Amino acid sequence: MDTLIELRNVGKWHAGRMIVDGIDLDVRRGQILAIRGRNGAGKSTLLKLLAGIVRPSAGVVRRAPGVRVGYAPERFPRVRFRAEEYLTHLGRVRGVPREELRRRIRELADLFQLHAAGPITHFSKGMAQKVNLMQAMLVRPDVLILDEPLSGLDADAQAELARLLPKLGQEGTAVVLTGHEPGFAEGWADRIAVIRDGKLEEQRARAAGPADESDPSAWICDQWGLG
Amino acid sequence: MFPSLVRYLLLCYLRSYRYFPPLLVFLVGLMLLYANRPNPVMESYAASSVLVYFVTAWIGAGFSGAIGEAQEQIAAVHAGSVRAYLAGKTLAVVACGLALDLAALVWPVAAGSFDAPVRAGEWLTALLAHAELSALGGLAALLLSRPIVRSGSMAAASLLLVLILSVAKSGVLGVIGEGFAPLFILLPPAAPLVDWLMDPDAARGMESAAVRVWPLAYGGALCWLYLRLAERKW
Repeated sequence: MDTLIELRNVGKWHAGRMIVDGIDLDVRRGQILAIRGRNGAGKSTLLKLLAGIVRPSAGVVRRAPGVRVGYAPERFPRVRFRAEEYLTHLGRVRGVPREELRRRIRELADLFQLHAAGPITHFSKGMAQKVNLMQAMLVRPDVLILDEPLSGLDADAQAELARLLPKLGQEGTAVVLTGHEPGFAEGWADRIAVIRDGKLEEQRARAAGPADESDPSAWICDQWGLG
Repeated sequence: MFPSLVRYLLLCYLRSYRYFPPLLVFLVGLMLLYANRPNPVMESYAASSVLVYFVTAWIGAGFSGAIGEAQEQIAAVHAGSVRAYLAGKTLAVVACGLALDLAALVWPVAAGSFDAPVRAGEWLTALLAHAELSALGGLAALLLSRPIVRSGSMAAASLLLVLILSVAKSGVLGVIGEGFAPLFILLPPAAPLVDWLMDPDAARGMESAAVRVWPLAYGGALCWLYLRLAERKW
């Protein structure tokens, strides 16, 4: 399995405080990696290191050449744009041609059932979170990094996401996501890494999976207690 | 791609309405400056250059806050790197300054506020000085804001101190003594630019060239320092 991002003995300190330390982690193509840990354990910082928006204080972060990263932060402040307009701007920043961008935004709007025309400032938390996920998936990333993606989503949207993630994995996208809910990702993520006080304590492969490997979404919904 | 980033950041800033207080101060400042007429051309431009220096610094100081930390991170991922994003933000602040520069230059001409027609040489001198001062103000503000200086009050106080001391350098040195001049060497070269506008013929030869080129070199160094420090502290 191709390694897309590799962290070796990575540490990050901020204002004299250690946030994460001694992290060794591989992000592999097509694999869903769940990072579990309590609030303040260092999950978000680890994701930012993977996304390349935080420089490590120690160690090395290596990315495969040309790897495309999509990143959805935990807190998505509502911006004064309409969803389509916002996504168009970010796509243009990425250098995506206009026509391709229009087509992709339509696909994502259908996928997330988000066709609201108003400004994002008027969106509910769940709708704003959908825009957050859409911007992360705007360019069919090789690595999709999602910080607490379930946050703010209603049960239906969580189920949509649960159906989407394994499909992305099957298409070759590596997905890295965090959560702190008990039982989060148990059994359905390909790998689970547990972070405690900034240190990666355990990494394990999936213990048990869906009976039907070709369509794991129903099983994932069941694991998350979704309809 | 890069123009798209600058356009997006400018739109974010405009839609945050954070431009309103500095723009209001700028417009009121220009109105007060040209309340009486006629006015001498270069002295008036010297005053408006100080105005754009302070107002662009104000814009630069508020720029990161207008976009928000999470949106900055998202934009950095889409821009391809933190450095590319920071360069885009720098250009966006400089573009805001240029818009103010043009307004400051055109306003008195359009309003017929001068005592004589503006000659091409005067206009070019004024344009260069305004552009340099607004860029210096914006860059100084970026350097003294998040993520480099995280405390808002500390950032505001240090920026105000730098701006005031850099403009009022000769007055301050007159009070505390010329012996303290080396302490001012690191401040943005705003005072020589304002002096140049007040009396464009005072500096000749190498001195004149230095007045024009030194702010450009200083601005380049400031930009480089900002990109390095901000990327490291991000």
